[in-house]
Amino acid sequence: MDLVIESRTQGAWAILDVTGEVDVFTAPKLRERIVQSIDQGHEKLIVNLDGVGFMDSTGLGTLVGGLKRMKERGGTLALVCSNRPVLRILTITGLDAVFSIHESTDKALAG
Amino acid sequence: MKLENIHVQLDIPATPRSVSTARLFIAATARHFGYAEDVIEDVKLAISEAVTDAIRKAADARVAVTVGADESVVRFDVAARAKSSVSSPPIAETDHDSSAVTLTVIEALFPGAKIELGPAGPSIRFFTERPPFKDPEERA
Repeated sequence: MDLVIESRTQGAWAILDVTGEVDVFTAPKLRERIVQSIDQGHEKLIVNLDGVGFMDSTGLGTLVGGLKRMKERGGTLALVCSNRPVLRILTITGLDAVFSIHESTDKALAG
Repeated sequence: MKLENIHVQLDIPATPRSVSTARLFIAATARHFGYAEDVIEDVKLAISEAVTDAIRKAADARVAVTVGADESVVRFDVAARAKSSVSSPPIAETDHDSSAVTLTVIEALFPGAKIELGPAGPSIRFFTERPPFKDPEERA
């Protein structure tokens, strides 16, 4: 399944709505869009993973890279995720404690 | 009712695009065994991790995903069939070494998972209990 990424802004936040499956084939596309958002100067970024039906550790690596890049610039990267397959890999790797994870975009925007 | 022994194998090119093919194959196979959807998701994740690791090691060759089942256990094996020991994986740059995470993730899902070095190259193996037989109509 291909990966579809749509970007929008809401207030000070840039939001990436991700749909599809994130693995070694599709992760470079996600990485490119995250880097692009950060390089455009957005200091607050939400990656909305609610449309992601599958993600493995390659996808997580991409998110970790984005978080690191954003933190180096003093910014914030938050995740929106309520589906089991994505939460499962976040929990197994302990990265659920590293990321700011929200149930919905509205909750992420509220901080 | 006695459960039949099963042995199926998927042979795919060692390319990033093949990982989703392996997931489709393993989901269909796990569904055939009658696993619950949560377990199928875990098997898909473990196979995705193992196949990704395999293509990093055999980028110019093939990957074999094998499922073998006897009456009580289902065994999964993912093996890289490298043409040479030195290859350059066609994988785009990532920001951390996800290869190091592979076995940790699979072990968390299926305790007892291990990497074995066979004559054709390394294999990642894990196993899980076979679910009891259910009539396909009953499952539906």
